[in-house]
Amino acid sequence: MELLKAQNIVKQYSNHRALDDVSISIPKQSIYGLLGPNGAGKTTLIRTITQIINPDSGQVFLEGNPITEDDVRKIGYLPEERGLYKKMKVGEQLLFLAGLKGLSKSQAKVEIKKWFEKLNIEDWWNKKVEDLSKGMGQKIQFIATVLHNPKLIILDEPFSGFDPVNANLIKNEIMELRDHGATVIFSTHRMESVEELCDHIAMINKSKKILDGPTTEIKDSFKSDTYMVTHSNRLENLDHKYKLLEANIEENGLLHSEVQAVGLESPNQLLADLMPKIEIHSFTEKIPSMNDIFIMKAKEGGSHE
Amino acid sequence: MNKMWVIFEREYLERVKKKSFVIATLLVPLILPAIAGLAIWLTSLDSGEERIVYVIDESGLYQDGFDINGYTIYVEDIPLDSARDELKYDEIFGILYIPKLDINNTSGITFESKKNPEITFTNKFRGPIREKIDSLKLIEYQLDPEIVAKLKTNIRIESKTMTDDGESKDSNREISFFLGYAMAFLMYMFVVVYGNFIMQSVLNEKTSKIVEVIVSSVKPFQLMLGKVLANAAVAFTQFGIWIVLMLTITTVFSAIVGFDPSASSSPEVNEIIQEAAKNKDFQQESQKYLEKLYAIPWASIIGLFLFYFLGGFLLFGALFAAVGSAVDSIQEASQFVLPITIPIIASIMLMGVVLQNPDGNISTILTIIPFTSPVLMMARIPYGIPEAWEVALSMIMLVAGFIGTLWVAGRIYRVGILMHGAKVSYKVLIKWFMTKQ
Repeated sequence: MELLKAQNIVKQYSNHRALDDVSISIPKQSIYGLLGPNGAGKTTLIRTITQIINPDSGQVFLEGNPITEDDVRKIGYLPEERGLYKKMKVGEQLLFLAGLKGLSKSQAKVEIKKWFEKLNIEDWWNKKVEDLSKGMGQKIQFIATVLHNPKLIILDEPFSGFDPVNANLIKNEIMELRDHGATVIFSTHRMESVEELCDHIAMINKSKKILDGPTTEIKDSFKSDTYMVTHSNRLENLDHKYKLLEANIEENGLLHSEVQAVGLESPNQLLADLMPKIEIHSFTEKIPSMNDIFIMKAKEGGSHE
Repeated sequence: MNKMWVIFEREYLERVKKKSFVIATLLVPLILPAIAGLAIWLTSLDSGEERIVYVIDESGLYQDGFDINGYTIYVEDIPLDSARDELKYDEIFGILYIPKLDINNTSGITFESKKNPEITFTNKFRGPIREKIDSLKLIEYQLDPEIVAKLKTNIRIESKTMTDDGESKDSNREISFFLGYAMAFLMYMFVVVYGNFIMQSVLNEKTSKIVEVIVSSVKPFQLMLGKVLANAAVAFTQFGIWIVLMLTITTVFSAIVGFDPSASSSPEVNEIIQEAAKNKDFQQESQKYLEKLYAIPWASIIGLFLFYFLGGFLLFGALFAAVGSAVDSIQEASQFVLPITIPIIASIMLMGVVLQNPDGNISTILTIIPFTSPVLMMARIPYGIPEAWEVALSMIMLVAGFIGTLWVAGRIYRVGILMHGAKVSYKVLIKWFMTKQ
């Protein structure tokens, strides 16, 4: 069951086409990643969903109905271009932003306190925003986005400005939100950072969607049946049903080879064939990263043009 | 619209809590009377210094000298040139030279000094000199001084204004002029100063990039309107506090000075006040003055002031907001601020015309045009509320005017606030205005 659907979105600016017939469909209670390099059109797509810009053609549906302004105001939206009132205190600022989402002051206070405890920042209420570091500010912005328990959360580059520890903290919070029923869309150009987070992804490059689907399926479909082996003696005279992509490359005193085995029933078979020949230190299936997949797809797209 | 009040509340509280607001609000009512007090004090200081004036009287009519407050007058029987030497070396302040006079020819009287005396100074000599000549004339023409005194008839024309219910009331052009000037200037000042505050506030939201977070929750138009209204409320607050403070200060001050004359530092002034108070004329005069003050239709004026204040605020505030949304820095803003401020500055320049002829055609037209009506209607109404149709038309035009500017500004604003680094020209603004969204 999908929560949100964007259909055939086209957005033309005077000198370039920002979105070219892009359609995405976001399942309920999932984390949906919009991946692509800077300038690919991710933010334009998000701004179309949040109705900050209107597309030239195409439509956005929420739970099957064309999305309304009221729906949009309920979205928890963390824009890429984001900031806070510098002179305001953290607590007041969150109260204000919660007020804009329709929360009463007492409701908002309860929610803010809850999030302060969660993120270990109980004593921040009276801090001025201008005294916060960039990462601290990002935390406040994240809280402001999810304070009103939105069904749909849209995060545009949510991890920029976070150190790895805090990025992880936020990742966990995003997953928890999903587990409690929220649907999360987020965009990033750092594809490797989100693989474990996204249930679904869509890749956007040069204003076009080049790939989408459940993360595991995409990864499976891009498997090349290649195995990486680290071994101590040289690997030679391999059976002809295997293809040796890389052989005997020296690495930290050991040797490294890559073997492609198409139509293999189980990796155990390859392992069994290798064991008599070499001493194996490690054996892994080569699974392409999102980055690899993206590069592959982007090249493909390029050759079609 | 609920969310607009959230915007309103934040903006209002932020502005009111600002140190600059608190300082300006508390200091202005203290500074203005302080400056006035200082001016009075300085003039009283001035009179303490001895200023010597030599009178070189060749006519022989003024050997008794003159009695002029603040000056020491010596009638000297020396040649004019030697008196001039003393003036050259700053021994004396000035020389009044009276040549041989004849009742038919009184020309040739001069006053010489290094520094310009105050404007009314030479007037102080005119009365006594004329009296002497007059008395010579009475003798020459053999007239009875009593009859001559009776010949002087004092004619006064009191201007009265008829109110709508047919009642005639005393009016006073001076009070009207002052009131009109003050209200128009206040309107001008508040619109320009607060217009810039609004622009700055929009620009801050844009550069701090909180604006996209906000417009994901409220419509850009609500954000803009909430901001403009909040600033209007701040202006009203400041204005209200000023009035209360000034009234308090005046009351306290007059209580101290009025009821305890011995406490005053200048016994001379008190003497004058006490003497004047005994004078029946003065009492009547001040009574008249008060009556005239009461005769002004305060309720209507205050009502109209509030209406035009809010209308002018919305009209110009929206335009300032649009400018703030279009640019990335305050420096860039100046080219767009100029065309907005031209009608306001023009209003101030045309204020003289309206004050001199409040019911002329030009005044009527200027108070109907919504860009000049907020300031100029204020200059006009103390002279009497214009005819109902004029006021109604002017108000309708102002409402139409601010709806128009809010609409235009809103269309520019919603695009502008999300644009960064765009090189903005009028062409670009028109394009934003035309954008479907």
